[in-house]
Amino acid sequence: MRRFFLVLVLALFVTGLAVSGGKKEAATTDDAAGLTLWTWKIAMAPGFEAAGRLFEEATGNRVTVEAFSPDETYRQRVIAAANSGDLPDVINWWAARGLGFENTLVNLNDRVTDDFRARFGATAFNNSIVRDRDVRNWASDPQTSSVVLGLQAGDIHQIPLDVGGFFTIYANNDILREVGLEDTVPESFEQFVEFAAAAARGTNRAGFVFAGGLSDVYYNWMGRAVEASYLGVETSVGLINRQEKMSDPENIKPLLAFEEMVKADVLLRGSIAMNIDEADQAFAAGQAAYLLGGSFTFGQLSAMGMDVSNVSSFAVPLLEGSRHDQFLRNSFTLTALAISASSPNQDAAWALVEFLTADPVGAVALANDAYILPAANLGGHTNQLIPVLQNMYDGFSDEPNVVTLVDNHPDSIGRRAEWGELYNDMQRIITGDLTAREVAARFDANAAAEAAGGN
Amino acid sequence: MCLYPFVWMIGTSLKTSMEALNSPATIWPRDGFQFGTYAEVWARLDFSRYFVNSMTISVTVVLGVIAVYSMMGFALAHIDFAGKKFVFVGFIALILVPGLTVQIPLYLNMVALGLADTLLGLVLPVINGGGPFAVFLFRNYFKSLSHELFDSARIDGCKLIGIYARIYMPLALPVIGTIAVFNFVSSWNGIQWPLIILRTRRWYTLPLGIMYLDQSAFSRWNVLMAGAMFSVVPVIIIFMLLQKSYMRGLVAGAIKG
Amino acid sequence: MISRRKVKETVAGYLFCLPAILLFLSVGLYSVLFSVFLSFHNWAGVDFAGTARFVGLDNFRYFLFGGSAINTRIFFLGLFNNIRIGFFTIFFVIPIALGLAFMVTNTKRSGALRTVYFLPLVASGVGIFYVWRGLFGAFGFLNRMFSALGLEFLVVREGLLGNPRTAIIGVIITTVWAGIPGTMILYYAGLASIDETLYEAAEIDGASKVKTLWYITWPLLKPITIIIIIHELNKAFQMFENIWVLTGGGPGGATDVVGTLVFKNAFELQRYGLATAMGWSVFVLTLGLSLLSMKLFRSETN
Repeated sequence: MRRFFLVLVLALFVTGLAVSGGKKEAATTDDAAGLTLWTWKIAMAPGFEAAGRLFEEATGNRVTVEAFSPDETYRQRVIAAANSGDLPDVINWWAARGLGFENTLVNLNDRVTDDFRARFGATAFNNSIVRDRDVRNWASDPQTSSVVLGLQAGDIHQIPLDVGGFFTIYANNDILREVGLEDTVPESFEQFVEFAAAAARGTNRAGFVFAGGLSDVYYNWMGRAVEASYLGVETSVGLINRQEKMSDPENIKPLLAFEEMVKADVLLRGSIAMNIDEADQAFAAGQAAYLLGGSFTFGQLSAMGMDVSNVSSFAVPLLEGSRHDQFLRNSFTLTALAISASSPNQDAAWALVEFLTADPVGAVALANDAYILPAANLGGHTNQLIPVLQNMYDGFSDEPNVVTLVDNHPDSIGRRAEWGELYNDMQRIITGDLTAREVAARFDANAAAEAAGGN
Repeated sequence: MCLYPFVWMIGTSLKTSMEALNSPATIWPRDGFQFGTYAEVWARLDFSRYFVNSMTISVTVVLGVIAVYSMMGFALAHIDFAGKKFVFVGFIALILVPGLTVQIPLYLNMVALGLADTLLGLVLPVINGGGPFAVFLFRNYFKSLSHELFDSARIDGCKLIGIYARIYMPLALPVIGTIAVFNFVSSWNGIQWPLIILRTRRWYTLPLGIMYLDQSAFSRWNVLMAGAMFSVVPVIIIFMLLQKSYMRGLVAGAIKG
Repeated sequence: MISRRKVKETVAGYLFCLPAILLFLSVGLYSVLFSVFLSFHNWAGVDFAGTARFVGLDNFRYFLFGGSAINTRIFFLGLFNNIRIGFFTIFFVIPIALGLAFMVTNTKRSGALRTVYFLPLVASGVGIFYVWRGLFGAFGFLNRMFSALGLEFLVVREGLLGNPRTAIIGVIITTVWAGIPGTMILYYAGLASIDETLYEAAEIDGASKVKTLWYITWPLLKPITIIIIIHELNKAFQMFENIWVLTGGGPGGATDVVGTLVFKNAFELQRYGLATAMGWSVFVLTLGLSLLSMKLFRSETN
């Protein structure tokens, strides 16, 4: 009797499988005759949906938004779909050149007219357009894929969606008041370390916190600005191009300053293992006087319930004797939208991309619900943004800063594998396992070995 | 030590999102118990649908693995056929196939079969993936049962399929239970593969539904933990219900073996 | 001369294996072969026929033999971490799980106990890593407990995961914790299936409890132990998700494993061919280790 039931259950399941495996699903995809957009940021989905509804009102095309989280799953999902021709009409992706799957995306060279580009900030397309030297650098790297080798200077496959900027220090004036340093912007990196140390000594809080658990956060959010400002554009590019040595007595100064900061014991205990959320929250909870962040951090802090009226911010302070004595914060494109080559509705998809990126109506609706800063010039529509977003705009300068100049330098070969090792080694300066001099020597040795291997 | 993380999950789910992010080290909420999180999660989670999906997928995987690989394990243990050793070692080697690197080829395989975005497409590779381990266990277990049982049944004129189904399978309850637990839990918690193979949300499981509950700018651990409870508690209940009969099976198997 | 009986047995044997073989042929074989084939190509991951470049053994040279000095070093450091994690996980999981399985077997009314041990298996979703981060943090439960107990020398100032020398310990603790319940269930089923008459016979012969354990129980548990070793070894060598969430490979690359390198190369740097080459190199190693452990245990049994 028991066995009979077992067989019955099995039979039911097999039938269930057969029925559900059949054609049922065709109906579900058919009634969504419209456009589909994929993103990996669940927090941005409400913004895409809000803007999508406006788009539907205007054009009659329905927009379906699907979010896949976390990042690592999204990357696999998109590559899988690209292989089988199942990409959605519009794909939200990190803004970059040489994605590796351009062969499945629509080339947008003809769609992006001068008029269209004029609707964006001056540097918005920097990450999206293939440049001559990219083509040259790719050709010299044996690991470059055929897809990327097939790209030509001027190729565009992505439209900038949102911008942001790093290189910002946030200060908790409630803490700094206790040591008489409220609303005081340090004049140099050295003074910043002094202030942070004073705060750490004078209060029972720490001086400074950042997401030390992610190896490249310090360098990419702060260290690059300090380094490039001190060394100047040519020397910085020389380090990237392996013509300069990090251990050169001048070139090592930024790294030594980092080591001094660590030795001054200003860092919040445990920050070496923190991610971005955890570092922001530690600051929001009043555990440190200063926080390293970007334009997006302010909104994050207020979302976490911090009273931001006592928080001020300033650009990353520079070393004394720097060649560039002021650091201007530029915005750069964070994420972008691409159109699938397999989309049957490429014109409608382009209309959606245009609406979300360049049309103030769509861009504002998206920005306010997704908490992002549009890449487009909003002109008179800027005041429709929620105040938190308007605040973000204030810190940006249109004039290119030294980091932007390094990035756009025509001779730069781009950062190779030795840089990833540098970020790891800098974590070991924090943990006291390496000195700045050792790290510099290792960097030089790594660069030489990679160059010798033809990489 | 086993209970601790679990108690912590409950504790965190009852904190405010600020406290959850700010002081993950404490177990019990300082700022009072926030039962509202559960209400919020319940209101936004289409529990019954996700639960049915999760059950369907996990039960199918378990039944599939047991049906397909008990037969193979039986053959490897008691039937003396040419190439047996090769088949066995080959299957064991499959345990070690690097999962991350076969993901895209596997997906393309399912697309070619027309099974992308179907339950079958989701479930078949999971069954196949659980196979080598199950074969290993079944073979060992069947081998540990005496071969005389097999010989005497053959002399009595039993067909092989009969020996397998009527004599060996009823004795295999301990190993069936073990394999069921392993495969049920792993397919219940599976996230990566469903997200890759599914195009629509039709077959989304409880863990996937919970992942998309929270649309805030930072991780609201209290919401995620409350959601996780909705996924974990059913499995615990199922385990508690089944373990009695599983235990009886263990004891019965021991006596008969 | 092949006997007719042998032919019949062979046919029957393969008929029993048929469902499994068919399933493997339809959803397994292609991906395995294709993936091996890929490891000899430069491929970004999309449209193989149109964009892949045959590069021979270049991929293997790149990270195994110093084609890229950095990547070779990172690969072997990662592999070393895999080995450490695998070794220590097995080293701790087997005795602990075996002990617990004994306990549960010999306890009356052990239902509640079993459910408790089973919990880690159920709670193995991503959320659990948040729990670990909180436990291991600079001001986390572990440090505070050691301070409270006066065991200051055990306090890791930056937290267990914030120190390159101790981070791997944190990782191993999580893998041991996650490995115990499954291993325990396997041993439990193994113990339950041991014939009681064997013990009775031993008792009559006047063998001591320890002797019974060593000469009767342990040899009978050897086959299941091989399965457990291979299972844990495989988990340790394919580890990705938990490291990614727990430490991101840090600090200073101290917890990088091959899995994180495979993921970075396949899906961040679009070097899918290179990543598969890494994956299959590890496959060869784990296959060798598995065969070795099978051989070691088998010869001992005889």
